[in-house]
Amino acid sequence: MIESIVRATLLGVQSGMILALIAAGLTLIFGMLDVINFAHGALYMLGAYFGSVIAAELGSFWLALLIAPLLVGVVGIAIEVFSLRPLYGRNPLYHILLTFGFAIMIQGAVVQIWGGQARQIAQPALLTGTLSLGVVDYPVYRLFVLAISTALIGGVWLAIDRSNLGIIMRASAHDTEMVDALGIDVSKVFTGVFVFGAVLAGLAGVLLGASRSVNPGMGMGIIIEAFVIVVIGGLGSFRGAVFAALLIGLVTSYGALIAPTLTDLALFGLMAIVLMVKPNGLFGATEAA
Amino acid sequence: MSGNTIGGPETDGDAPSGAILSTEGLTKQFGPLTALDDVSIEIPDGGITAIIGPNGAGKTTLFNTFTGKHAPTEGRIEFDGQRIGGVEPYEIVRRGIVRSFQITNFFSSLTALENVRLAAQARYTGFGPADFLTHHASHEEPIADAERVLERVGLDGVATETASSLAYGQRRHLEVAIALASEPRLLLMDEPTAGMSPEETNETVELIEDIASDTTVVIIEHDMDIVMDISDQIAVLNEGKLLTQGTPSEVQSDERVQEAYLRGGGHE
Amino acid sequence: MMPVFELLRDDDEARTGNQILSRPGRILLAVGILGLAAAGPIAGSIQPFWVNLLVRMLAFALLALSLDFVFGYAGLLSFGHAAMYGAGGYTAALLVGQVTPNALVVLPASVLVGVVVAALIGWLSVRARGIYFAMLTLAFAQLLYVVVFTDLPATIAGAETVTGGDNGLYGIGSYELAGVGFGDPLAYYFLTLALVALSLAGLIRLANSPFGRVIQGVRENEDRIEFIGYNVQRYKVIAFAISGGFAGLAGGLYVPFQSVANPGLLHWTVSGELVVMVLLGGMGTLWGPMVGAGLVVFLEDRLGGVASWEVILGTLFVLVVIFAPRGIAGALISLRDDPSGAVDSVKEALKNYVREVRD
Repeated sequence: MIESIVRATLLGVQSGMILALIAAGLTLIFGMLDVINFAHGALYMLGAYFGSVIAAELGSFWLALLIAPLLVGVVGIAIEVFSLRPLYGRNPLYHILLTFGFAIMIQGAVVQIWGGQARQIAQPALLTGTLSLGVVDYPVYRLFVLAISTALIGGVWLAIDRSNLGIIMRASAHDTEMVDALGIDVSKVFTGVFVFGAVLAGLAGVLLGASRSVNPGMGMGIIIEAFVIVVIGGLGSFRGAVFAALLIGLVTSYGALIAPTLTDLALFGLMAIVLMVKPNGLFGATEAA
Repeated sequence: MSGNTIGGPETDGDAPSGAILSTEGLTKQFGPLTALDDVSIEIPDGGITAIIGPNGAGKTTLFNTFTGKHAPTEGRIEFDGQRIGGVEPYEIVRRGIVRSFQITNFFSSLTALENVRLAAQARYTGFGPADFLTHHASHEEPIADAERVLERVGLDGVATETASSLAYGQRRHLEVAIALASEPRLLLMDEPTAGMSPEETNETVELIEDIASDTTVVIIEHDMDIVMDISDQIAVLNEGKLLTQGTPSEVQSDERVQEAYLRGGGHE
Repeated sequence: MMPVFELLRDDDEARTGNQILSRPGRILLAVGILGLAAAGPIAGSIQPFWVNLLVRMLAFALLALSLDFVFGYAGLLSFGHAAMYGAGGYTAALLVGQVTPNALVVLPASVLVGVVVAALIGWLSVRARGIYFAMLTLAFAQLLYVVVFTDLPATIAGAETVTGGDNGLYGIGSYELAGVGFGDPLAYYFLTLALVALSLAGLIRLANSPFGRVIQGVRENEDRIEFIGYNVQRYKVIAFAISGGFAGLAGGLYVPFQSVANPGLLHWTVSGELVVMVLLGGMGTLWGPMVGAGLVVFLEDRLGGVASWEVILGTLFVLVVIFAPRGIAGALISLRDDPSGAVDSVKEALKNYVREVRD
């Protein structure tokens, strides 16, 4: 009993932190660029596919982990510069159509190139096996995923909270003119944020691709979960996204213990309840009086 | 025409019928901030009452509690003998309190006539079968009302123009026309002359005086000349409290007012 | 045909300058409907399969129309229209399978279920605004999806199966009306076309009604509409419920024709594609989204054999957003207003695009 609870907690925190990697990009992109990025799941999937190819061709998980997210970042640059940039200031609805288009396009391209079957990313030898944590034996690779995603989220948190960059980013979210006046190139900040979100998503793709499978449906599957997280946390709030990701991770993994078929019900039920009580999410900006 | 008004019979301009709206101990807090602090005010029926005070004195919050946008934290508001604290904004409009906005706040892609007609329609429409199944243009009364109001504010010439294409002064008049179309008994006007040229200001002052001939008007206004010129009553707010209330000459000679407002860097 | 006359009859003068669809526009629509009525038998004589495609296009056109009424018209972005569509579809599947194939019973039931589901979702969601409203509708629609997918009703009622769970319900028969069966695809096509035309005429009338004017005002300026004396929340819930009824009808038309109801009807991707169809067609025009939906269903079907059809479809969406943001309807309208300026405006759009990218 205790064993399964500890295991579920570990799993919940781990999947929560991975979800936070995806949701963080999504919420930052919304908070700053006002873009609801439906292509974010596709970028995550692209990370997994790039990772699987690199791992297979070069025989190294570590190179895949390093290079694949950067390649996803390059795709992110292309999307931002050539399609989003001309649309800033227009109704955000158009971003939905645009990024939905990219999601479909990327998914189609992936099937076209790599086919519909699932692929694998081999876990590195260093991280195979299990580690005894007293009560439970837990796979080393999962602990690694937990560690690296926590470190990344912590790093982003610090970067946003402490550094100049965070201040600039927050300022441009609220007042692009002010940032302009400071002599900062807003469009570079926007590109940077979008690419940063893409890289995080790509990274999550490689990390999860090596513990689950790599398949064309993974993007559409995760995007909706990430949206739920971002909405529960409050659109645009980084802290909210991290908190909600952990919450969802734990709810899902405990839910699997109790009633596996109803975890999705819990997920959307939770979002509905949060929004009805706090219409702007847990950490969302409340309407000015 | 008055047979269709929900707000009840119209009152004569200067009928000495006491207060149309009164508050008692009205307090509104936003978290730690007290925007209105124990305000007891009486708006006399008929004529023009001006609410003045420095920025942040609570004037707009006072309007917002009158119109139902904010429910009071404490205290009571009575309109025409009935309590209205906590009543929904649309219901308050039906009872006869209507406001116009400082920033133009209309339906910018619709025509001027449709803007006003929509407001007039609220008095006739509900959720009956005819409200869903008939063509809106087959209902004559709202259109006639709207045309009459547009004529009154001098916009009958641009009735079919899109609201967003109107000149600044015309937009502000349209704003007032939308409010008038609800046939208010009490009209709240938030800085009706803000940003206007002297000529437009004069026109607007005339319009306000015309409206006041059959409707009680409350204005928030920074221009002291206008306030002294057109008001029958002045209420002075400062830091959420009602400093004093009286006729222009009474208020002008009040030392506390001069200290708090008139001398202490008021607005032009 | 009745609906055609209804379309033409709407001749109250547009004194307010806000007529939805001018008289020539309505005549054009009527001609289009008559054209479609003629196209059915012709398409069927060439290849029966075409009638099948036409019915699916019409069903989705109706669904897109229902979404446009609430989204393009009342400004409520619903990301959960699949819920009403699916609910209407399952209602039809259950009734036809177990009670009666009478279209006069089943289709109104589908509409009613769509209205009830939408009223419930709307009532719970309308206080949230914008994207939060969208996400609430998404959440409730996904809840319903899970309920159907896991066959929760069967678990609760202790029955063996109600929704058929993962597999859904199949082998559903077609409608009957006064002894006439609609098993023939062409007959079903005419039934669908008649109901779609009737729906369009009805929604145009509704859009021009006093109620329709108010919800248009809600889209334009929600705050102000409250301060001129309208109960905004109630208007929104009613608009959403009406829209849900038409979505339910679309489901009720689609399912018996395909003879399958599966949980995929309620999946969020259906809602998502629907939003895309509406934007692609040109939101707020009522007819544009119908064209958009028909086109997407057509392309999906025709390009489905080509391996890269998703790439083509995705590219189309992206190009439309960047270069024709008002959708197909917007492009057609500007072409009508200024045919000679069309080439110039394309040049202008390209120039703007290059400048924005470089900036």
